[in-house]
Amino acid sequence: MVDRLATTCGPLELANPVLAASGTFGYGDSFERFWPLSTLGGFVTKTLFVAPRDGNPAPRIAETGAGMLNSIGLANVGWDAFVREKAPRVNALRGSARLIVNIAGNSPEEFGAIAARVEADRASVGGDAVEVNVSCPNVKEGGTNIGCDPRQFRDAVRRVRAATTLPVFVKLSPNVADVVPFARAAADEGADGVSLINTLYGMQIDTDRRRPVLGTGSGGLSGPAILPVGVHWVFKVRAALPELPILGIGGIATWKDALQYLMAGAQAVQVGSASFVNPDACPEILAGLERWCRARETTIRAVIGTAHRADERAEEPVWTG
Amino acid sequence: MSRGAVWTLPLAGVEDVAAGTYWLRFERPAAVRCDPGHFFMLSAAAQGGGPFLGRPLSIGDVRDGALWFLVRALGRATAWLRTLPVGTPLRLVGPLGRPFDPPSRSVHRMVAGGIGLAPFFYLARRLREAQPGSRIELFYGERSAEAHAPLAAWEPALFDRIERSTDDGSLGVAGTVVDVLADRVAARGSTDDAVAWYGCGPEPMLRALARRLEAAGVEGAQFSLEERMACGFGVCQACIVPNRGGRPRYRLLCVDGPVMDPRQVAW
Repeated sequence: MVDRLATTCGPLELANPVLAASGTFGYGDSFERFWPLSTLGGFVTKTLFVAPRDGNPAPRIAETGAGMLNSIGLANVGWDAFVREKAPRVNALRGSARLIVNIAGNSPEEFGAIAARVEADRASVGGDAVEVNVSCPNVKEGGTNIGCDPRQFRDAVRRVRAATTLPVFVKLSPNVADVVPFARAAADEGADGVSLINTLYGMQIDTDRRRPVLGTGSGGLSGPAILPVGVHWVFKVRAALPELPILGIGGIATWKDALQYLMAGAQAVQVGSASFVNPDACPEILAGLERWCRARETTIRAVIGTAHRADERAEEPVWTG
Repeated sequence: MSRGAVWTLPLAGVEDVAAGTYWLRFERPAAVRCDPGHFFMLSAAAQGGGPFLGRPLSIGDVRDGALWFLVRALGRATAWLRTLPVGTPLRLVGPLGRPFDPPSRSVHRMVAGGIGLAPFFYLARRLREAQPGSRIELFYGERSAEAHAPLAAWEPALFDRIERSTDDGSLGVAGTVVDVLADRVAARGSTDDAVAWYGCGPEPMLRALARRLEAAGVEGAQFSLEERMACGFGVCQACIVPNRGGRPRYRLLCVDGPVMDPRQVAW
């Protein structure tokens, strides 16, 4: 039997290309009620800091046209509680699904510190990779976004790389004029791959109150509205850095959305906000990809990056229902 | 707490009951078992078929083989739901959350503000079965008469006493439902151990009710709260309720509630 769904993203061998994105999947144990964790190619934990965080005041979300704004504030249980309370259970359930630990800090130094903790607890946590969430404000330097500041970005990635031998994926922010130099900088600093994109800055104003809806004013835009933005940047990064492994994220709600990312050059995808609305989104996307590949007698690996091939004749559409 | 599941159900009926307020009805799949206070997340079954996020709706009633939701068109999604033709498939995730846990009492007193009326039909129905000798009272306030759901017409058997109030005095007693309670009940001893208290409504109303009950020394009241949420099962972390006592600072309404003891909330 042909393994149509298997894929490789740099050092990560994945049983299938569907991962659950950070911040939309808890610590891996929240969707057990709906389907087995082992269904996934992998999943990314909610962003973990060394110390727990309460997060931001309400309201934390707002609906937008085909999407949502969030300002959760990276609420998390902290690294020790994750190791003690979450990791053992998740490891018992995950089967072949890869566990990617998403980490962050309020300064480049804190990024290094959390990466060192991940490395130190490697034997007990058993993570397969770390994903570096550089999209948080640098508290020390007045709230500048580390992911949008080339110097701090490099510093944070360098410290994470130095602290761990696990594969490192850097989650890139779209809130820059050009994502490609950041992808290049991540590769230069030794990252094994990049995840893109994170949310876009956004604000909604309550016209009755004449005030921003979110408790913090602005938040991060996600959902189907940002699909073309993510596909655009994956395509551009793939074109500029064809050897750099990519996890594609942003607005994926259906298998066709996932296919766009694969064709743009991502080796696998992460499904985010869609899982809030439809808890079955990940298995449904996986089933759609399997159907699509089977109807064409092809594989996920054969699909990756195919949107770049100008010389290849477009195939006839095949009806898959 | 219920574990919940994902259901795709065709809309079986829509019935207007008052200005902007309507019932949604779905045939109940045999496997759906829910208790009063549970909620479901409702969204378009097809991607792009409606607002992106689901909306949390308390189960309004379970009878005649159907799930009923009492909804008020207050925003984009609740207005959209009203426009759907019968047969439209909707995604329901649920039942979710921590339901009411009624104690054994001779009086069950429900205090509803506006669409906070929603969970009390099913609560009353189940109490009628479980505690047939107890007295069920409903204090129901709206801003004005046209918003009042004419519930006596549908379910006269569910409540032994119904006190209506309006902020503008156009129906029933003038004043907020909490004012009415203060005048008509608290004076006669709301600390009565024979009374179980339930509340649902807008936050200012619940805050005022919580203060009155606390001042009167009432313990064990059960309020069904509301907050914005994207998922309904503890993942998005949007639906925070400030925790009295501070540690942790917040609890999640979707898994620790929606039914909470008002004394646990930092109003």
